[in-house]
Amino acid sequence: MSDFFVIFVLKTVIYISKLLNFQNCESLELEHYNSDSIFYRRALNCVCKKMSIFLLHLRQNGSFTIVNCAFCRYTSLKLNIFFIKHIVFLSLIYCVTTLLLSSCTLVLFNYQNNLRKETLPVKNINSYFTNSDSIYLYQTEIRFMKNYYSGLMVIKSQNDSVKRLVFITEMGIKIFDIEIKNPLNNKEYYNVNYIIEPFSRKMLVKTLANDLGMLCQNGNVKFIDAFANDEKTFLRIKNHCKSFYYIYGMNEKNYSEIIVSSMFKQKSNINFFGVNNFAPDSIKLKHFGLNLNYVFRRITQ
Amino acid sequence: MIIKNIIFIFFVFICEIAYSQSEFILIKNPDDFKLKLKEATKTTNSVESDFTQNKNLSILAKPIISKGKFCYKKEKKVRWEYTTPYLYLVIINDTKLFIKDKNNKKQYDTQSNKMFKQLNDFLIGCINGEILNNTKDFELNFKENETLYFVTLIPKAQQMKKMLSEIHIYFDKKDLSVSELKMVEQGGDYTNIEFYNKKLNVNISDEKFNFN
Repeated sequence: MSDFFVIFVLKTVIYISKLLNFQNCESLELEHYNSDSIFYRRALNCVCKKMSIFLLHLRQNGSFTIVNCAFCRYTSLKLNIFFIKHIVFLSLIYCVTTLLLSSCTLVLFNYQNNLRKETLPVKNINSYFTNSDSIYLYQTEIRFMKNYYSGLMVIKSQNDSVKRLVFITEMGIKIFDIEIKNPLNNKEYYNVNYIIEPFSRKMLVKTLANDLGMLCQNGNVKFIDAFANDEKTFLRIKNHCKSFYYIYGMNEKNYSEIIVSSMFKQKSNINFFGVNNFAPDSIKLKHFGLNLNYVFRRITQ
Repeated sequence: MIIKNIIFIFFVFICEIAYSQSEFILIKNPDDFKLKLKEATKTTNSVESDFTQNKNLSILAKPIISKGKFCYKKEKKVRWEYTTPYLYLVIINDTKLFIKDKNNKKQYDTQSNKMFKQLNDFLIGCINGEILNNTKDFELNFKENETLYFVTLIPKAQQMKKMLSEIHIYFDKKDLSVSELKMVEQGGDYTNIEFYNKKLNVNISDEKFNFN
């Protein structure tokens, strides 16, 4: 069984468990048995609130059995959620659930949902951090799974397209120093000047740059969708196979929310609070799927 | 013209005085200084002080300034509290480390975490002077001027070397307490912490080092 297939099956199970409102798992482990030998052992994280581990057996005939729920209070539960004889049928369920979920995303931005279609505006995306004479200083909290990091984020605009983001601890130790070019115009948009050893993993750096890059998107863009209700205007752009919904309040010059979604699901959400002429007082960034949350609170010196 | 010359000579003279005051020369016998420091730390039971931290980054024209209060009580109790422009509190009580910010508090055992153990040993070592005997982890240089002893520590361990290229500690000659601490990172960015309003051997209640 290929790697792709194992992940494919795992994703299906995660979706099913979500559909069943099976909220108590945060991490999922899969063991694949082929008569007497174990082929693969994988762990994937799924978006649920409480940490617990389910040991899931996928047998050759395609049946799933949750045989053990190690850490949560439902330890005694032994569930047999599905018994599916053919993997083809499983694929079908995956497609249906994916479609269901994607339709949820679409419904959110559907014109029927009290939104009316607007004409495409000629407008620039203005990042809040463009003034190269200013320093933007934020006390920052980063929560990743059960880990918590706090420190100060210094954002400095070097020119219209390049921003430098330096994260230091309150006691002055530098954690990372990343240079981000405008992600809307550049395919390779980040450069790591420094990152402390435990954080210097490729995936982690990519995720950080991707999340922080959203704060630096700036410039002339082509909107592909625009709609509004009585309170808000939604403008959509597409970049790197993702849709970015910039949400403007009525009579607001700049956006107060960004929603990022892929084809099927919402990826992340950024809220800007206390928006004034200079910079937002606080920013909340939620990265779905990874259980990664950022909170930025502006510090005035 | 004469007045101009006089002003120039006066200016050079002032600069000369300022330069001679800040010029550090190598200490010929560092063991004497170490011994003096050891004697002083023996009689120091507690330290209370205010501090100003300047974080200098190459991208910033001005440093990020934060202020707070520092307390030390024998044997291994440290309270490091930032009050402006943000709230942040670190308490070390023997092997326990407690960190509190606006929304979160957490307790660690320094024995179980290598990084926190290093931080703990470094802070306590600076206060009680034990760090000056740590030739295993640091290369040490001792200098002095009229008012200060100046010790440069160059980390030897690879992991620490990646974070910090040099640590400078300034000791006040009057009472041999730390008056300034400078941590220089690879690339030249540095953190400078100045201690002032120092009070030695005052009564500090144990409650200040409790976790709550």
